[in-house]
Formats: sequence, structure tokens, C-alpha cells
Amino acid sequence: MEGRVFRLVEHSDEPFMNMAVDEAMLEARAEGRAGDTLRIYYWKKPAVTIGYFQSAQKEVDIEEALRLGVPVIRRITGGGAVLHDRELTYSIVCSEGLFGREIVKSYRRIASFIIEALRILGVDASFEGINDIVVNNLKVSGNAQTRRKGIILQHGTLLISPSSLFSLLKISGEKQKGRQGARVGFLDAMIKGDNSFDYSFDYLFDRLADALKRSFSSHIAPLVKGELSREEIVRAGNLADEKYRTEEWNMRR
Amino acid sequence: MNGDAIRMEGEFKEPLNKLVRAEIVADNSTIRGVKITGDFFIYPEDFLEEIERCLKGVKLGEGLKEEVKRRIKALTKGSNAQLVGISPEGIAEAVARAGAKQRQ
Repeated sequence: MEGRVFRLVEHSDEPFMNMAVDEAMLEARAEGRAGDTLRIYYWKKPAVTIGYFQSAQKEVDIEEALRLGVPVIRRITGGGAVLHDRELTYSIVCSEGLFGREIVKSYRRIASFIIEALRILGVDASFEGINDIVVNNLKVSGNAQTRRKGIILQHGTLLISPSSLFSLLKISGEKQKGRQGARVGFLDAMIKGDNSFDYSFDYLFDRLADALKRSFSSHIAPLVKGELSREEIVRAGNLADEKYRTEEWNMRR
Repeated sequence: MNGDAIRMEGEFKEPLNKLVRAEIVADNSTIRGVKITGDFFIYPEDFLEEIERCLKGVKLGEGLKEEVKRRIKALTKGSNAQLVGISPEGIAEAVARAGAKQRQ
């Protein structure tokens, strides 16, 4: 890990671009045109993303999403459906040498910097299952990764506040039988603790982002503030138009 | 081929694993197409399409689950694919549950 530095990108965008930027970063890194990157972002408009292998129809109330103007976007990573509203999303792009070729282990290793960030905020979280982070048995973070040419892309979400849009996600009968899936928790109440003061979403987002940066710097690699390259932005624009905005991609399963 | 193609669906979630849903199209008691969906992970991702392809031609009825498991295991053995949160057994169970819904 010696000498390794990550670029810190704090680029938030509209939904299609958010997913396109992550993929453009992965491509640029895989082709040697960008370095390792930690990106921290939010969604300028709410959206639902579904895992690469999920059925859009089965996971999301598509009609209601359409009616509300909430886009449903297929990710290039596996995993479950996520509502992106009043949450923080991060993505990590780096060579797999850093977290190992074994995928199950790498989830746990990456999760440790998130768990440490939550500890900084006074929240006692732990890793659960394959790719979840929980607090008192409530899921506060889901994470998903893919790999291309020896490069990892992992992105994940941290739920900050409840959203009325959660009802867009369908929970299957089989999944309800398990204890995972339906039960999520929100960090606002957990960070707030007994304090009766009302914190704004923006304030909580910034505190969470700061804690993540601190934890990442001390556990994984130093961060150097950076920007997306022009090339990455152009490529993301193309990916947004040619892939993430298309029904062919989003409804393919 | 006589008889119309029928569509069936089954889902299964193994403890500690992810949800697996199988949608199958069959006629003459034979699987013609399978679509597997769920919140699992497979690396590389397009390996799922190979799994789906290898299940064409499997007969419905007794022995369905074993045959699905056998085919996926054989396919997986000869590859570098990693299945995370999903197993040949889980897929076989979901397909068998779909197959059991046949009402013809």
C-alpha cells in the first residue's frame, strides 16, 4: 500500500450520470488513464437502481415510479434494488491487488472503513452477510462491486433519513421469510442519539462524508482532492445517453 | 413439438444467500428457456447467460432438480467464474419450484 494515493472526487449529478460516472471511472482506471479513486456523492433527484441481475418488473413498482418521475436504472453491479433519496453514495475504483481477488473477503475489507467512519460518529455498526452493514440488526448500508481487467468498482449507499419513496421497492415473498431485506435503519436518528436538536440532511451528509474521508485516509490510503477528467465526463455523458437512459438496458431482465 | 409453450416461475432464498428467481419456458415437458434473476453476484457477469443456456433441454418432472444442479456444477467447474450469494443448489431449487407449478 506504500506510496498509494487515492483521488477524492466529490461529484454529484443527476441519476443517469451518477451511474455513468462510476462506470467511466472504472473504464478510465482499467485503461490506465486514471488513478485509484474514492468518490462521494448524492443524487440531485431521487432514483431507484437495481442490481445487474434483477428483474426490473419484479423489484420495482415501475408504473408508480413513472408516475412520480423517479427513474429506474440498472447498475453494472449485482446486488439488490436501492432507493437513492436522502442518502450518501460512495464509489471506490482501484486495482484488485489492494483488496484481494477473493470477492467475499474484499467486501469485508472495504466495509471496515465505513464501519470505522460510523464509529467516528458514535454509531456502532457491523458487517453482516455478504455485503451489508447493520446497526442493531437494521441495515444502514448496502454495497455492490464488479470487476473489469483487474480493477474493482464498488459502490454503496448509506441511508441517512427515511423517504416516502421506499414503497417503490417490492419485497418478494421469499425474501420476507429471511430476516434480511425489509428491515432498514436510518443514520440520522442513530447519530442524533438522545440529542433533541434537529439536524438538517445537508449537515448530516457533510458529517458523514467527513467521517468517511477521515476513516479512508487512515485505513486505506491518503486522499488527494481531485476532479473527474474531461475525458471521464465526456465518456460518462455517452454512457448515460447510450446505456443508462435506455429501456433496452434498464429493462433487460 | 405439439402443445403450447408454458411459462412458470419459482423463487428461492437460501439461508445466508441471496434471492434467486427462475422463470422458465417449457413445452413438451422440456425446458426451452430460463431466465434467472435476483440480488446475487456473479463474476464475470455474463457467466449467468452461460448458466441459463446450459439448462435448455432439461426435462421437467422427476430428476429436474438433480439435473439442473449437475449441469451448473459441470459448467462452473471448468470456469473461473465466482458465484457469490448464489449456488447451483439454490438455482436448482428455484427451477424445480417453477417446474412444479406446471398444470398441464
